[in-house]
Amino acid sequence: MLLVEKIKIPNSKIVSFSLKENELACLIGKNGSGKSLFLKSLANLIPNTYEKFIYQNKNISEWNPQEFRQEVFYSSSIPFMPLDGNVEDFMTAHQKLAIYSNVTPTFDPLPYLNDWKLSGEKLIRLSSGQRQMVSLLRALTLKSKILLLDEPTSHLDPEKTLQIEKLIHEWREQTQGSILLVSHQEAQINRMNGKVYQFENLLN
Amino acid sequence: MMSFINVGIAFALLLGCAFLSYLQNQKLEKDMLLASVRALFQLALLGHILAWIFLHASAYLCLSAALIMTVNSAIHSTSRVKAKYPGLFLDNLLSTAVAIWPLAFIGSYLFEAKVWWQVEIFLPLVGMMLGNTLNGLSMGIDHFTHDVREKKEEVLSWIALGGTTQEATANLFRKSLKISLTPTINSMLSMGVVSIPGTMTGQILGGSTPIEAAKSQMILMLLITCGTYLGTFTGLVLSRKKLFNTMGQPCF
Repeated sequence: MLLVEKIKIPNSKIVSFSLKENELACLIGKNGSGKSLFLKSLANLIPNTYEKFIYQNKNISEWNPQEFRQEVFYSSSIPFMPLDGNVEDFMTAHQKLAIYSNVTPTFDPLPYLNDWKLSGEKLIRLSSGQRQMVSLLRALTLKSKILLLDEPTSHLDPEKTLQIEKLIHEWREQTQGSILLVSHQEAQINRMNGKVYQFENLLN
Repeated sequence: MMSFINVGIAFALLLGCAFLSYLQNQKLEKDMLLASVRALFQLALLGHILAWIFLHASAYLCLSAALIMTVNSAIHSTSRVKAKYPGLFLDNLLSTAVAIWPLAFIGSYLFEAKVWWQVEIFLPLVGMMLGNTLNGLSMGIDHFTHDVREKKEEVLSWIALGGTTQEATANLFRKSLKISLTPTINSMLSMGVVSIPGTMTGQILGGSTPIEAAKSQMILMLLITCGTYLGTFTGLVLSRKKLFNTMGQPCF
């Protein structure tokens, strides 16, 4: 589904990797090794060179960049949120982008926002854990085919961590999408029960 | 006809002020003298150059003079941008020329020039618009390049969602354009209420009726605002093109 060969990320490391349809993959590796740069490169967010970069049997250069990024979404570990507005504004802000004019969301995040007592909350008042929850919830509404989740639960308590993991699993079952998840928590990697990649082993 | 003796009297007043500053130990006298002498030389030179151009007026000379002024303005607007990038000078030159030249032709018509290259009209128009566009353009690009770098995470978050570079930088773009247009808009708001504007003052001193002077000021003010807006707008579009590649990835 997504295949990169010898992609050179900005810290000069050269990586090869592939992700299959509906695959769940976990990526582990040291701090500062370049995992986030690698994920951003997979989402075609930063300029880099490669020998092969293929998504859905099509070369990356043939893809409309916006369409590609809507399908292969990079979710940052420290989500950006504007100072103004509330949680609902954040959840729907992307809908004004041209690429979403034909995308109708099927996943309803409202029950979760209510359950977590976050609906109507001002963005500026959210804790870093709450930011991660809201940001992941939004990622699930985007109708992407691949989610590149960069430490999505690093600020969460154990209970919320389990809830988010369950949500990720449900999303994968319902959409048949693929996931690449970066984590530093060994227990989480075991629970996710997917293929585990050591970042250092992907280097060429 | 005014003689240079009159200028000398005005300069003597400034000498008096400089002396006062010296007596009061305010240490302003050096700057005052240096700046005023420099300004006198610059203005005398400008006067002579314009007099020569007016004397030898031709379409060719008119365009060459306007071109030199535009290039000079682009050099200055480039030097005022802190975060420079390759091609900034050419971008600035292009946006200044695209905005100002058509307006100068329209302005010549509005000021009832006999031919479009009537230098007494065309060159002052170009000069007035350049000064304002220079400020707006350099301020706008300076803010935009700074903001886009400082708010890279915000910009990248929009791009990650599938936004185009236009969409991802829309807020910053609008903000920069607003900042560069604010002085022009403020000056329109206070024009004629707080002070008699420069062009009008000049024309009245030169013997025009106040109504005629007001009309000139109106046209000039509108042209200046259009020039600042169009020049800055074009400059920001070009700078946005340089900050991102064709894949919509940030190159900074």
